[in-house]
Amino acid sequence: MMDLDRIIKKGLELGASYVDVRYQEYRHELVVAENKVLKEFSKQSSKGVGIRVIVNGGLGFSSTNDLSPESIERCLRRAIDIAKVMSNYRKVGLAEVKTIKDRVMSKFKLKPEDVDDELKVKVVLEANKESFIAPEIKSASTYLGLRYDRRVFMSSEGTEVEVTTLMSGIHHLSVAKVGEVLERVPYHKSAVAGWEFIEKEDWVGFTQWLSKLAIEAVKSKTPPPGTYKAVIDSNIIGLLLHEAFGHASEGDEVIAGASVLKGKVGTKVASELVTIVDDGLVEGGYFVPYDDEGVPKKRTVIVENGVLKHYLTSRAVAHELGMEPTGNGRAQDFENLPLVRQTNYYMLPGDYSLEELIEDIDFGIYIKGVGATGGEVDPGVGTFTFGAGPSYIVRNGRLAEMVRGVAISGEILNVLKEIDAVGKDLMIRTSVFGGCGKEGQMVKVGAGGPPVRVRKITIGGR
Amino acid sequence: MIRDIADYVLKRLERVNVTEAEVYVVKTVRSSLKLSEIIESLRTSENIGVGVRVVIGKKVGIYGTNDVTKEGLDKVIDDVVSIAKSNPEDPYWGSLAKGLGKSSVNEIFDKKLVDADPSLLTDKASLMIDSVKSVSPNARPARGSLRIDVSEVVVGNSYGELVSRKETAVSTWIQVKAEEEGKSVTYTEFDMSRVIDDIDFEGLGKVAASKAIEFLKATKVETMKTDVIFDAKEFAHLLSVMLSGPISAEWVQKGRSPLAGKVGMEIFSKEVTILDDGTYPRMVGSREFDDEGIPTRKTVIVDGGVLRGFIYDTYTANKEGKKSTGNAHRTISTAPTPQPNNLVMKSGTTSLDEVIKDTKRGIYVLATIGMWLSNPVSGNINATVTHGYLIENGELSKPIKGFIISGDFYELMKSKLVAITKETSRFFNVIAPYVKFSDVQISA
Repeated sequence: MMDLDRIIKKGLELGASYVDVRYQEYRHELVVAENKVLKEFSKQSSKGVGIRVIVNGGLGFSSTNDLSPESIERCLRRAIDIAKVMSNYRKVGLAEVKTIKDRVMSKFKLKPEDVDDELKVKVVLEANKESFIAPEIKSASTYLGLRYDRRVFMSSEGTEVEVTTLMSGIHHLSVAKVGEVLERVPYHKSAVAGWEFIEKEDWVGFTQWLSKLAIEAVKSKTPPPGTYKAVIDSNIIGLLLHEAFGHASEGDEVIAGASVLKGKVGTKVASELVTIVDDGLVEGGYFVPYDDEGVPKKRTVIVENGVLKHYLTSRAVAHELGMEPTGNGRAQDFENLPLVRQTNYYMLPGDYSLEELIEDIDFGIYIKGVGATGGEVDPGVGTFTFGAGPSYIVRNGRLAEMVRGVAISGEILNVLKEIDAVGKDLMIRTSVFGGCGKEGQMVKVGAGGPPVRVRKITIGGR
Repeated sequence: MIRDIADYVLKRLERVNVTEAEVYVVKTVRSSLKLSEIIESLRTSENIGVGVRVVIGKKVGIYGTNDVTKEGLDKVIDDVVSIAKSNPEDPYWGSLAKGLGKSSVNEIFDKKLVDADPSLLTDKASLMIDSVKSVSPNARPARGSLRIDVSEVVVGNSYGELVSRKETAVSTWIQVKAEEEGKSVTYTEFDMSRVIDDIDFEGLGKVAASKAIEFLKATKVETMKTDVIFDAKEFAHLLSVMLSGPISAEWVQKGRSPLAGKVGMEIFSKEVTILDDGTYPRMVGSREFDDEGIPTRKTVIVDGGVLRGFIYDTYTANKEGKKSTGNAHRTISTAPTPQPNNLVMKSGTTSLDEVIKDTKRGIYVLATIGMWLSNPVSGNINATVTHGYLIENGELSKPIKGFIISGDFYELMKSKLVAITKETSRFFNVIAPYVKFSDVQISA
C-alpha cells in the first residue's frame, strides 16, 4: 500500500498545521430478482484517498482515485491551495483528542468475493420464486447485498487507525392484491458479517413469511383514525429515534439552528424511563469502532432518565460547541468530508415483557415495523409522519385483529414524554441496503430499542 | 491517461472468450463550493470510472469500477465475464455500437476551468453573496453551491474503434431568504453552462434577492380557470418532465410512452417544433459523441405539431432495425439508455411584453415545486406554484403564491396553446420559449 506517512510529511512541509489522509477500498455487490427472473447483478468497487489539511485556520479537502504518485501529489497541492484560499473566508478548529494506533476487523468467515457468483444468483432466485405462495401475491422483488469496506486513517498528530467491515443481507418485497386493495410488505435482514450469514439463514422461510403477512394484511381493515394507547415495537422506536430525535441531536444541526433540541442540554426532554445512547459497537448494529477522524466511537449518552445530556459531535463541531468529540465525524467515502452522523442510535431496555406491556391496555394498538414504508420528519420542530407495517389492535390486554395502512404522526418530544413503560427485549438492526442520507452523503447506521408503551399516539389512515 | 486504461482493458478483453466487448472510461475533476451567508467549504475530487460491457452469445454483463489500479482492472475482466454468464440471454440483443466518431460542437470546453485556482470559485461565490446583500438588508443567502466539472470520456469496443472527448460544466444555485415582520420567504435561482462566462453570478444573486423580497407581499389566489403564461425556465422544466421519458425509444418499446404508435400524427399545435440537439453550443447536454461513441446530432421530434420520431441508443435502434440517434446515456455500472441530449423548442415571433399586454386577466407562473408529481405516462400535469403573478389588464399586477396548476399536457399543447415568444431560456438541458395557454385550471 502507498505511503500515507509521506503525504502527511509533505503536507506539513507545504505549510499545513494539520493533515489527515483517508485511504479506502470498497466492493459492493447487488443481485436483484424480480418476479422469478434475475433482474440485475452489479458490482461496484473503488480505491482512493481523501486528504484534509488546515493552513492558517482554513480547511482544504481534495480526493483522488488515481493512486499514482503524481496524482496524489496533485491532490495534496489542491487541498493546500483550497485551505489557503478558505482561510480568508472561514477559520476552523479541531477539538483535541488522544492519538491512537489500532487495526480492527469486523467478525467474518467468508469473504463475498470468494463465493461463486452463480451461488449468489441461485440464493436470490430461489427465495424470490418461493415467495409466490398464493395467487394473491402479484409481484415480489428480492435483493442480495454484500459489502466489503476497508478504511485507513492517518493524521499528522500521530493517529493511525484501520477498520475493515463486511456486511451481508437480503431485502424482500411482497406485494399482495385482493380486489382493489394493494399491500406492499418490504423488510430486510442484514448483519455485519460475511457470506456465512447468508448461508445460515432460511431465506425461503423469510420471503414466504413476508408473503403471508402481505396476504393477511391485504385482507385486513385500516384502523379508525384517532388517538390510541400503543405499544411501539423495536423497529418503529428505532426509526422514530433516529429520524425525529437523532438528527436533532447532531451538533451541526444544533449550531445551524435547525434542531428542536437547541439549548436543551440539562433539561427534561422525555419520560424518566427513557435513556438514549449512540454506540459504535453493539450487537445487531453497524460496526463503528472509530469514526473517519480517527476518534474512538464509544457509547455516548444522549438522554439519561429523560434528561438531555449531550449532542453528537465531530472534532470541528465539538470545538465550536465547546463539547467533547464523541466520535461521530463520519464520511460516506474517501471523496467526502466527515459530517456529524449517528452510528447505532437506540433506547436502553427496561424490565417489561411484551405481554406485560400489552396486558394493561383496554383498547389500543401494537404498532409494528415489519413492512414499514418510511416517512417524513422536520428535525427543526420534531414533527414526524411514518407509515408502519401491518399492526394489531389490542383489546382487553390481548392482541386482536390485524390492521393495515397504519400511519403514525406527532411531535417526537411529546411522544417521548408519554412513554410509561419500557420493554426488556432490546433489538438493534442495521442494513446493507441504503442507510442514512445527509447533505448528499449516505452512511451505514443502526437503530432500535426495546418495545415501549405510550399513553397516546395519533394514528391516521394512509 | 484514461486512454491508456481503455487500451489496457480492451487488450485484456481480447484474451478472454467473449463475442463482443466495450469499455467506457470517464474522468472528472470536480470542484464544489458550498455557501450560505459565508463560503462554507470548498473541495475537489478527481475520479476515474471504468465501465466494461461484454457479450457472450446474447448474454450481457456489465461491471463498473473506480478501482483503477492494475489489480482492480484485471479483476473487472474476470468478474464481468462471470456476471455475463450468470445472466439470462437477451433475445433482443443485436450488437454493440458500430461507426464510432465525433460531431463538431462549439464552446463545450472552457480552458479557464482546467486546473483553475480555487479563488476562481470563491470569487464568483463572493460576488453572488454580496449581490444578495446589496439588494436589501432583509435578504440573505440561506444555501447555495457552485460546481465546476472538467471531464474526459473515452469509448472503445471490440470492433476496433475508439473515440475520446473533453468537456467542462459549471452549475450554480442560490437560495435567498427574505425576512420582514415575522414573515419569511425563500427564492432560488440557478443556472448551468459549459462555459463560466456564460453565467451571470451577480445577476443570479440580485434576482433571487429581489424576488424573495418582492414575494414577502405575495397573496393567495382563488380557484379558477384562466389564461396562464409560463416563464420560459419553468416551461422548459415542464417539457423536461413530460417529454424526456416519452420520446425515448426505450419507453416506446416497453409500452410506457403515451406517444407510442403516434409517429406522423399531429400531437401538438402547428406552432410547435421540438428537436433533440446534442450539438447546441454551451448547453450542458452537448457533447461530440454519446456514451457508446456514436456522434451526436440534431433529431427532429416534433415538426409543426407532427410527431416525427424518437431518440435511440444502439440497443433500441437495433431492435427496430434503425440507427442510433446518438442519445445513449449511461453510468459506469448500468446499461446505456436513450435520453435527450438537449431538448430545444423553437421560439415564436411575438415578444413576452406583447403576450402579457394581450392578457386581460391571467396568471404568470414563475417558479414551482413538485413538478415531478406530474405524470409523463398519463400526461397529467400537477405542480404547486410557489411564486407567480396575477395579470390584470395587460400587466403583472401582484405576486401570488401557493396554488396548484393542473391539466392534461397534450390537451394544453394541442388546443390551448395561444402564444409562443421569441425570447427563450434554459433549464439544465432544455431550451424553451415563454408560452401562454388559455383556460387552465388553478386550484387554491
